[in-house]
Amino acid sequence: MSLSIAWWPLLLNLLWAGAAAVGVAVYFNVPLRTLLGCALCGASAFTTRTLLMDSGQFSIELATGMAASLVTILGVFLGRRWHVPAIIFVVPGVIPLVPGVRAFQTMIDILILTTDGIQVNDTLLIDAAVNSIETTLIVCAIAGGIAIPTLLFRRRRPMT
Amino acid sequence: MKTLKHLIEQQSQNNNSTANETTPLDLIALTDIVDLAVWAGELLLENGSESRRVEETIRILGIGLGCDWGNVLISPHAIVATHTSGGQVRTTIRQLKKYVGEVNMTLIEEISHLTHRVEEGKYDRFRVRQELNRIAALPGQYKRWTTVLAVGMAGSAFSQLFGGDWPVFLVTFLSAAVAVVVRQELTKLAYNYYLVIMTSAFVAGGLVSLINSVHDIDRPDVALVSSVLFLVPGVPFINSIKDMIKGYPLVGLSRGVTAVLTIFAIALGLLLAMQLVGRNLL
Repeated sequence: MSLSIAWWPLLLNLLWAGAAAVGVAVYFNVPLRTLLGCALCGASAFTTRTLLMDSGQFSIELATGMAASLVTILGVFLGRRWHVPAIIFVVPGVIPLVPGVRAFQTMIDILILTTDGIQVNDTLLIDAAVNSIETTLIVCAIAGGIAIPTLLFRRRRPMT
Repeated sequence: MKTLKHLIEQQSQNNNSTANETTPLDLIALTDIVDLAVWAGELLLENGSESRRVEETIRILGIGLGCDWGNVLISPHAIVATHTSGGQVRTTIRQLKKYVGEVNMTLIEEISHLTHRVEEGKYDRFRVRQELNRIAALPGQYKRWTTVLAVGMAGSAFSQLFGGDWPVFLVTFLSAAVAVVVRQELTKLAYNYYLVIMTSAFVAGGLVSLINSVHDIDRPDVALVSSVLFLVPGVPFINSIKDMIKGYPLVGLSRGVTAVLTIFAIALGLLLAMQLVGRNLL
């Protein structure tokens, strides 16, 4: 793994991921004083995943799961600091990781497949299958990544 | 015959008990507490909380207000709770008003605070009812145009992350903002959830396709996908898996099916818009 990182794209990545998380957080009606924490969580989640995937050692599912775990731990600390449930930081933070594009692609492939007629287009079929499996796995990775820290540090009530 | 509501009001007027009533509770108090607990649970479940939090909130509210124990059954569209106190048992079923909802984090935070106060013994049940009334009627934290701008900004931020340029940024901002207005208006008119989602996706996709047919933009696929990303049911997806992991497979499955149907509705709306304009952008 080389340590040479392109700083400028990384910075832009941080900025836009943070902006996306803030937008989602406003849509989810989070308390105003927690917006900054949401931006921090969103930026760190997306950038962690990008860095892990760029290093070439991790698949997208594993990278997503690790990013979600990191954000959950961050969210728990922020939540204790501001006296709010950690879920407020975690959910807007991981929303940018949700594989929306793959999910649409699956559904649109299926819809086009049925309208294409009798000759079944096998690349489309394979695309739909691969996309649906990847979507499911990534969603599971996000939820698992959120759940793992809360299951490890077991408390009387859920942390998130 | 006096109704239960009258009796509770009467108790509220000559209320000189301490915060935690001594057990065993009388039947009126027990009924009131079960009602309060499932109300809080309903608010949580309708606003994007996972089942574990709902169950614990209902139980902690009951115990904090003086019950011995609470048993909770959460199903996709109703909550059943039974609280006991000194041999007395009260059960109630509360049906959810909506099975898919907007996510409201402020409400979750307020109920979390309320639960802490009750657990510390600072609130009695009359105060809890006041607080729940206040929380249920709480207006949004942000003005409407702030929300619209924020969703537009989120969409265009996603388009930047997916490698779009500045024209794509602007187109995405516009179509996401229009689509969120459409969604809010149709939701206010109480149309079916999936119909609302499909129409919003159709509007967003149609706008991008129209702009693209008038003046070619660099990455129409990025604009198309980014402008409908706010419709993706991320919270139901995550809650679905979380519920299944934590031992509520029935609720988890139901949420998962809802999320997949929502995605299907979005794809249908996009496809319809693209076929009307006559170009497959994806």
